[in-house]
Parts: sequence; C-alpha cells; structure tokens
Amino acid sequence: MIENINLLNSINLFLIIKISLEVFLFVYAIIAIVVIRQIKFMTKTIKSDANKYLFILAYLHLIAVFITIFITLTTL
Amino acid sequence: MILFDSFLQKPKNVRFESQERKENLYFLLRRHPITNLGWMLFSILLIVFPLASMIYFTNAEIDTFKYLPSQYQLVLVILWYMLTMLYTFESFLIWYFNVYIITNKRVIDVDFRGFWGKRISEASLANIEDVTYETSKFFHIVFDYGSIFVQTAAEKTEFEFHSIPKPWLVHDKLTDLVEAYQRPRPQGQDMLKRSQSERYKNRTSK
Repeated sequence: MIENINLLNSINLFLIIKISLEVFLFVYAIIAIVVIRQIKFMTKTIKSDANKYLFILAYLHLIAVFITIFITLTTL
Repeated sequence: MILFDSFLQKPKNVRFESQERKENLYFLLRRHPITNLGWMLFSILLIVFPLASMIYFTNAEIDTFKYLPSQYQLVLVILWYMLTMLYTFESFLIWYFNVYIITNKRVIDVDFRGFWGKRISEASLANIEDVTYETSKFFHIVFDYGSIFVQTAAEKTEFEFHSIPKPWLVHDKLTDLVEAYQRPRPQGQDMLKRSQSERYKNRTSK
C-alpha cells in the first residue's frame, strides 16, 4: 500500500516537472520569436551586410527550441 | 571580422533608417570590444558549469541518475545551454545595435535596450556647441578607447558616446565637421538656411 502511494507520488512529481518544462519551453519559444522580431526591427534602423549572420543565429536558436520541445515531448 | 567591428570609418555597405540622399556616413561606432569582456566571461562560466559539475559528480562517485532519470538530465542540460545561448546572443545584440553615427549633417545615438525597445536621439551639426573627449581609466589608455561628450543647443543637451575606440580621432574629425558645417557660406548664407530653402523647394516641387 505504502509502495503504491510512493509510486503515485513519484509519477505525479515527474508529471509536474514535465508539464513545467513544456510550459517553460513554450514561453521560451515565444522569446526566441521575439528575438527574431527584434533583429528585423533593428536591421531596418541599421542596414549592414553583417545583418544576415544575425538572422542565421536567431533562426538556429529558434530551431534549437523546437528540437528541445520535440525531445521533451517524445522522451519524457 | 565584420560582426565585431566597433570602429567603422566611412563604411560603404552600411546605411541607416533616416539617411538622406546627400548625407555621408563618416563614422559608425560601437563600444570597444573589450567592454564585452564581462558578459563573455560569464557566458564561458555558464558553458563550463554543467561540464565541471559532471566531472565533480563522477570523481565524487555520486550517482545523479538515482535522483533524476537520464532523460530529464538530458533535457535540463539542453535547457541550460539554450538559456546560455539566449543570454550570450542578447548581450551581443545589445552591443551590436547600440551605435553612434556621425554624418556630414548630424550625430545620431541609437540606444537599443534589448527586450525593452530602442531610443534614437539626434542633433544637427548646426546645434553642436562643444565636443569633449575623455580617456580616464587604465583600460582606456591600454586599449585606446574613451568617451566623447557633445554639448548641443538641441532638445537633448548632451550626447555621450561611451567607450568608443580612438576617441581622439573621432573628436578631431567631428570638430572639423562641425566647423565646416557652421562656417558661413561665401554667398552670405549659412548651411542651415541653405538646407531649409532646399527643403522648401523640394516640398513645393512635390
């Protein structure tokens, strides 16, 4: 009986962690999109050849977030 | 490397938002790269921390998998590095987009505040009253950077160009530009009046 309760508690704990991670990653994805918007916004102010590297970095960052969301959803 | 340039004199492939047709860019300045040392070191610390703690746990023979399953540890490590990447990238963007622009007509201060927007201040060379530069700290002298203070008669009375490279050169060029701009024209018209009449003509021709 006590073992069952412990098992139930551990499942709930990990479920809470998983949901928290998902929520965090969702907010993080929004921040990653905001970063891209920021760069778009600022590259209008200062137009330079180097701006394309910033976009590449920002999109790689966003892709990394989506990969992490995918890993979280499939492995946890 | 083009991404890390902090001192661009007459840059060819750079333009800014409100640049006029006959406006030439003389300087595009950012804070000296050495001023990024703080956030760069902190980023390195953030990168090294999980590795160092992993080595520590292995050496101390502490089984972390007993407390947290491996997949959770993997996700946490990925999250840690993503947050590190966000911090580093945002710090870099704040440095990269905080620029001081000097043209043959005005000085512009672009103040990028990360997630909190931007602020752009400008003053015509006609309104500049005094230009001072300062290299007061040990690092300033070693790495040849400092601050320039521009007193103006415009709404914003002082422009401060912080930690820019070669302040002596910028100061020299800026004072030359101000002198040239404020010098009376041979026809008896100063530049301001001339540009005003040009603007009036443009408006009426439209």
